[in-house]
Amino acid sequence: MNIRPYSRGALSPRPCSRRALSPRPSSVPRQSGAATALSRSLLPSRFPSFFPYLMLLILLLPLPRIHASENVPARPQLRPVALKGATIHPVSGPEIPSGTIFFDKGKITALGGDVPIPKGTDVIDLSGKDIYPGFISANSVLGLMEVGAARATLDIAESGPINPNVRALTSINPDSELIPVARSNGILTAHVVPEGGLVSGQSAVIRMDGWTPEEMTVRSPAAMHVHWPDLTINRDVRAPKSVKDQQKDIDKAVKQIRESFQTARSYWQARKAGAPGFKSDLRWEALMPVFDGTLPLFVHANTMAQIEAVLAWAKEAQLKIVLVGGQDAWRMASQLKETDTPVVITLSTALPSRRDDGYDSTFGNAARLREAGVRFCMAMNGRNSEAPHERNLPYEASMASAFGLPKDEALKAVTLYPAQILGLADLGSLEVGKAATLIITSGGDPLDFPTHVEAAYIDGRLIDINNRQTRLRDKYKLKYRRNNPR
Amino acid sequence: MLIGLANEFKVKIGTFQHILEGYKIADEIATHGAGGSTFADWWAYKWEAFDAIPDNATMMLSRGVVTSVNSDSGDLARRLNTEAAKSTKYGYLPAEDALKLVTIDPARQLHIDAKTGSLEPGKDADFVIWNGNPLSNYTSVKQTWVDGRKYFDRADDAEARKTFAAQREALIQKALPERMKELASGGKDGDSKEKKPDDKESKPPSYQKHREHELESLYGNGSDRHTCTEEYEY
Repeated sequence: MNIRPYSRGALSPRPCSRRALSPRPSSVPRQSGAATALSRSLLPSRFPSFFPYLMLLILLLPLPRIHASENVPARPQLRPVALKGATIHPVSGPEIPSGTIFFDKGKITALGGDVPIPKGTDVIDLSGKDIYPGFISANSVLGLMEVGAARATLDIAESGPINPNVRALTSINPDSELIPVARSNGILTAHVVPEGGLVSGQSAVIRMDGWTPEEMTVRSPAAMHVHWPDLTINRDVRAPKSVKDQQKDIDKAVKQIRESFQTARSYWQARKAGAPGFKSDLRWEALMPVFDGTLPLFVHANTMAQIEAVLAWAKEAQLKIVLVGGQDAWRMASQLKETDTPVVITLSTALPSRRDDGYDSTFGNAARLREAGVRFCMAMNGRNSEAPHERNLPYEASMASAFGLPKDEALKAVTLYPAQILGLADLGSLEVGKAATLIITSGGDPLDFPTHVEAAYIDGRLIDINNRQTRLRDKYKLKYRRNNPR
Repeated sequence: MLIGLANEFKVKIGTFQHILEGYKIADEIATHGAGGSTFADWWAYKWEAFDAIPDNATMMLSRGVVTSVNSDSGDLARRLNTEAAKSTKYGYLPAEDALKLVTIDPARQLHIDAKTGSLEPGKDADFVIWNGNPLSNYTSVKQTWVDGRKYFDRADDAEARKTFAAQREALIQKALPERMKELASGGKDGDSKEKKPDDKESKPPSYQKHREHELESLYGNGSDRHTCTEEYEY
């Protein structure tokens, strides 16, 4: 079988006996694999004074490829950077072949075919590469969990049904191994959503790099989240609860949501009116920005019955909502269009929800919503089972494209559209004034295999795109190189 | 350890399933002569899978292990073409070798490579017609053939759906008056049906209920087994 050798480029480790002699500049994030050559060319922006020394080291000595440390957050952008010669895909406008993107202090300051480059700029030639805005994961629990089946590592849900005061940001672990894995494939911004209960709490939008949750915060709180109860009744004779009791539970849950928002609205009005004898309550306090219209309300619902109930409730409670999930949204496209309800589509590669649905009912969801004029973006399913697979977000979009969604719309569905739905004016496309949060690919469409994300910038900072998995890969490749190479 | 045990008892292991950490002991697996059938990129769903890496298939392959890519997720198992394609991304595996991960190599592991897994004279006519590169996510299936018979055709399927929708609607309209009557007589949302089993006299023993449930039709056509083995003409 014709397998390409693992050592790619000139940087493959040489015999190990020399490794002990090689000094290891501890502050240099070492990148390996396909990213090595590119990252090397990107280094000057970050280590100007050490640059010649560093280049010498990299070229002459076998740099260890095993990473003793975890991924280290990048430093703020020190000098202006110009990426030259790549095809730039701004997403919001036509692509620029052989263009230049210029950014300083984390913001894009110029973009186009021919951009004047001031002195003191690090110019990096990226001919043959492609530049895209970073992907935005619009529905994740990244940072709130580590191992799905290990309960002690899950901090995704507070106990109890009504927790509007809960903030996801508080439990985000910046050292989660799942974050670098997702960002290696271009996910540079994530909407971190609390799960559990009915009114589950406040989400946060984070940049996927930083020392603390605060440093990672793009916006917190980003939205209030309601998880609509499952309205399905299990009619299996072996169901633990009778049909009647199940219905009772559902009615109770819906009533709890309704009453919470009624109470909170009264609280909001009383508070604004300065009512005497006013007692503060942190739960209702947390819902005040929802009524003020400053905090968006995201309601999670998938089935037709759920979506119908949610739309009816939103109308009754006079609330503007964003629907999350929407597996059956395509069946209700006209109602969603009428009420101008945006949909964060998840489960778009899941099995069909009904036995008589077409095999492609979930694949085609996005295309159908788009045809109906519904605003949408695409996301993963949230929940602990999905967080390790956030890196597959771009493939959800291209799958939708195989079933009717135009290619440019598929790209927008994981970049510009989530930014718009989440109200992130700074992100989602490459435009002057927006954040320099972008990916550099191996010359190709990042929504498809086998395109590689070779480097990434978050707010103008070159980030380390290695992760626990690339470290394990390199470690065991070394094992095989030592033991009688085949 | 299992390999050691197998060697001790002179048993040969056919193929390791899941084998998410196969990349750590690929030489040992290859020396024993076992295959490895792994997931493409699943990890972290449980602690034992925390060291799973998407280069696993490629690394095992490069050490001489007969390797295939599988999934036990109903959703992913129907898209093994793109699961295999992940090896071209993470492992830099050439496209032809990636395709083998879900065709001839699993056939070899299952010892059915004399019949299927590649297109050769004398083998079963099992094949797929794609509308593009099967390792691209933009590609979809046009036709599926098994034993020389066409089992799926995207265009035919789209047409059939229209017929099915019309039939379904007609059946609903037919059943609707009956259902309206039932609702009018006080039964609500299937409750009238539920009442009977609550009645002690007519309640069947629970084991029977379980049995009935297990024998329920699994497939939409009313049969409880798939029809691939039955002879019938289209």
